[in-house]
Amino acid sequence: MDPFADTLQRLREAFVSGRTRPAEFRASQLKGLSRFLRENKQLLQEALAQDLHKSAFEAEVSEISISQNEINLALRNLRAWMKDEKVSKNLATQLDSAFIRKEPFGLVLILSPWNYPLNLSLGPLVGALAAGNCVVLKPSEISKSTEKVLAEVLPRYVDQSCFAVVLGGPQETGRLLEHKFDYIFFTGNPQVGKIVMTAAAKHLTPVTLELGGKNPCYVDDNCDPQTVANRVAFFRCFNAGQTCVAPDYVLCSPEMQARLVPALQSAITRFYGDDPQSSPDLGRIISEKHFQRLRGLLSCGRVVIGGQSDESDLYIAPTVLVDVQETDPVMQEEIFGPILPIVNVRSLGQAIDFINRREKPLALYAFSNSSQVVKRILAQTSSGGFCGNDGFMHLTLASLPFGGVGSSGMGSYHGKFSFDTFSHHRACLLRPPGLEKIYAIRYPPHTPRNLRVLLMAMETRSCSCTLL
Amino acid sequence: MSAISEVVQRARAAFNSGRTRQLQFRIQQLEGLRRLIREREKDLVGALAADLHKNEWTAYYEEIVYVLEEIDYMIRKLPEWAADKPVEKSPHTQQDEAYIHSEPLGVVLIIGTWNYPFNLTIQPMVGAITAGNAVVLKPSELSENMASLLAAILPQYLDQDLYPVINGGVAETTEVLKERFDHILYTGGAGVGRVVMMAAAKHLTPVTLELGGKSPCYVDKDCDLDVACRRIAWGKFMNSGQTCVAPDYILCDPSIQSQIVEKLKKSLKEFYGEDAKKSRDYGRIINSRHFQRVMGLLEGQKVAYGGTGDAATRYIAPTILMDVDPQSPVMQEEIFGPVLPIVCVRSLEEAIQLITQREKPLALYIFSPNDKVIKKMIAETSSGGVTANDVIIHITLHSLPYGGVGDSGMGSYHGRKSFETFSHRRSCLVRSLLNEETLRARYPPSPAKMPRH
Repeated sequence: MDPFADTLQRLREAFVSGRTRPAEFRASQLKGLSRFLRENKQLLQEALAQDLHKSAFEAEVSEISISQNEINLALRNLRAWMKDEKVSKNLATQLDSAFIRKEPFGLVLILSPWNYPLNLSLGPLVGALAAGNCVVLKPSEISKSTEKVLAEVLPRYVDQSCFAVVLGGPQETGRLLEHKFDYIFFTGNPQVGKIVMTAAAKHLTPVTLELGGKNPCYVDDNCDPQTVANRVAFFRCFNAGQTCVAPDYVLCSPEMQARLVPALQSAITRFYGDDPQSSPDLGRIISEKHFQRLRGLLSCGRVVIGGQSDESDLYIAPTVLVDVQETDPVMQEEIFGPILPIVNVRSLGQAIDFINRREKPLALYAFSNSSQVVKRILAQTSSGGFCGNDGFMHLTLASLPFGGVGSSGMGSYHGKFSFDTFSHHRACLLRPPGLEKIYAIRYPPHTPRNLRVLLMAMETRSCSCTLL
Repeated sequence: MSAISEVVQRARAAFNSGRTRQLQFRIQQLEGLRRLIREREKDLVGALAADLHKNEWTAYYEEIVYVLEEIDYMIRKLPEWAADKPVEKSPHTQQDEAYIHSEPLGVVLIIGTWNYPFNLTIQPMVGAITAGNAVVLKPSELSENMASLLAAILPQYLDQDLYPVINGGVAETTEVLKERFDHILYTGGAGVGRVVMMAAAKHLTPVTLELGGKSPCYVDKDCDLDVACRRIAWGKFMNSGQTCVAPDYILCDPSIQSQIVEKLKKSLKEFYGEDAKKSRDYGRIINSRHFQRVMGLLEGQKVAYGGTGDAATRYIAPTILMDVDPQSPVMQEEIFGPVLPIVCVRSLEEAIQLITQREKPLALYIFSPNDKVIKKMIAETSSGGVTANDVIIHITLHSLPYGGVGDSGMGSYHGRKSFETFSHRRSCLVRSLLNEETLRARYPPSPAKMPRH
């Protein structure tokens, strides 16, 4: 028995019926999402607190508001985004109408993760619905409370003939992926990303993969350690470190390290108090499995801040490690926890080499008062996104595409990029009937004379043209 | 390490040297390609003649000229495209710099195909070079003359480490696909397209797949049939039908079928004479396997014109089939040959239904003087691209992306889209360290100021 066949069939039929095409329909779906957020704020905050011990502040800032902003942006711009995009014409096509038509792909699958289970479900969903697709959302089963809200409450706010939430773990997801979708949007780790892309290949389904990596954080000698420490600690510990764009490790000189460590301690104490475990602002690790994984990393290098953990609470203290080797486990995998290793480098050049020896990360951070240093790192490395002198603020700008490169991902979204990601850009050239004489030269028989005439016409051209 | 691995590693090392970063370097390489085309045109035409019976007109005008235009266009536009693009800022980022920074991806693999073996290998390469990548080319072994020629002459005009040519068949292609690339652009059929994407998935390599399908051509009762048939004949039979965006089959009302047949015949005779075999301008099928395949599709069909072939020269006469059954073999696969089936439909709706029951094609054509008909056809179908009242030409405008959807492909290129396809758009926000006071509010502890529920 295929548990998904009926649902997918229903959604496909709805798409074929054309229901999702009119702007009014799409706008009403988006308004439904908006109402969902507004009417269930408490429910959502509770779910996020249960799943990740997320504070009301973090829930508001990084889950609810950010989703609401995407919805509002899409509602405001929907008709403009849907419009045919006229393109420039050459001499030969002056009389034609040339434009790009944005069309929905059809049936879209969104696979969302557990760390920002609301935002990373709704963000892509906004784009897919705005673009006129029918959508299947498969939220993470690991963030159980939020999964429940998404499965039981969200569908009431949108047209269920065009939207469905399906549930399940890795096995069910595998079975789901055997079906044909017209687009797959996946957020998660690179290993599963490969599995998703391989499954998509069987059906020639295009994908966007939002993956991850180890995001380097270079700290130059020329900067104020306390300012840097505030920013790095804040973005490292946000959501207890479970953020794909969090600064993963620091690269700095031993001299800077000596100044940075006390500054980091000071920042952590200011943020979370002397006993971070009792702070309502510090999240918890999502699961026993990840807790154990992170606890294992605490024995790498030397602990200079934190290092405590409490299994009964899935609590890991904000921790800084020094004397870390490149070969240590903490430097081999994306940490995804409130642990910050510091690796020493003796120069900017060495830092750049270190970064370039590794996979391209989703984000890269560089702290320096010198704009030359910041620009040099930008120029000599690659990453999904980049922020100079702060943490992951770049993803708060909907005018910047959010996505990875290399093993940190492919494709991007946010704002209009979401709409474009979930649209097929269809090239259209409409020629008025008649005017056959102009095109006559293209037909056989091709005489040497015709070719000479054509070549002469092309050489004297002042702009590029093809006389087809 | 295998020879293929070495070649790819060398390209990667050359990319890592950083020399492609300079725009001037890329422009020099593009100018090298332009010189190659101008100086070696005879050799290029010779290879195309040997592989596909093209002549200097069809070689230049249906293949080479587009590459030249692309090169000229890219040289001109590169500084603009490569520049950082500032973006709109939000209230709390007003003091910052926010922009999109375009970067090369690294080492790009381009797998070419045999029907336009110069254009479909080199035009993507032009985009990849412009975007600052190293490019490994794997031309199709079916167009063997072009494959050898490219391997021989490209190193004479381009940086030898950055742009190697790897030749060979299935075995070599499989070897190449084991290597890690930063983007793969493949032109060819859906079957191999899947294989390429699966190989790419192992390295999380993004792909552009330019595939194909059966591009429908709907002919409205009210259109000027003389013009329509001439254009259709031109687009269908160029390169002996071996064009991914050729109109594959015609859909029309039964009442105009005979007229269409007559007018197609008239145009074909004008183009290729009474016996197309004698025409310099009429192509040949690439190999025996495809010759057999296309001839096989004629079985059981009502031949209105042509229908003959000569295996020795791989010549198939321009062929028109009438009253074709949509279930028959000729309507089940992309024909890729000079055989034009006409399928009768009684209405625009029936045509749309027939089209939408099938896989999304690479191109879709509608001939009608009626705007409403055109708009309806476009609105109720999907395809890579569309041309109304003509065929093929939408792919010649470089401001339009060239690519498929569904089984006809993913991703696109040409013009600026090529540059984007082969670049990474890196989002950049650059802030100051001196404004810490203004940011204090974002840090924990978050006290009673949060609206409690």
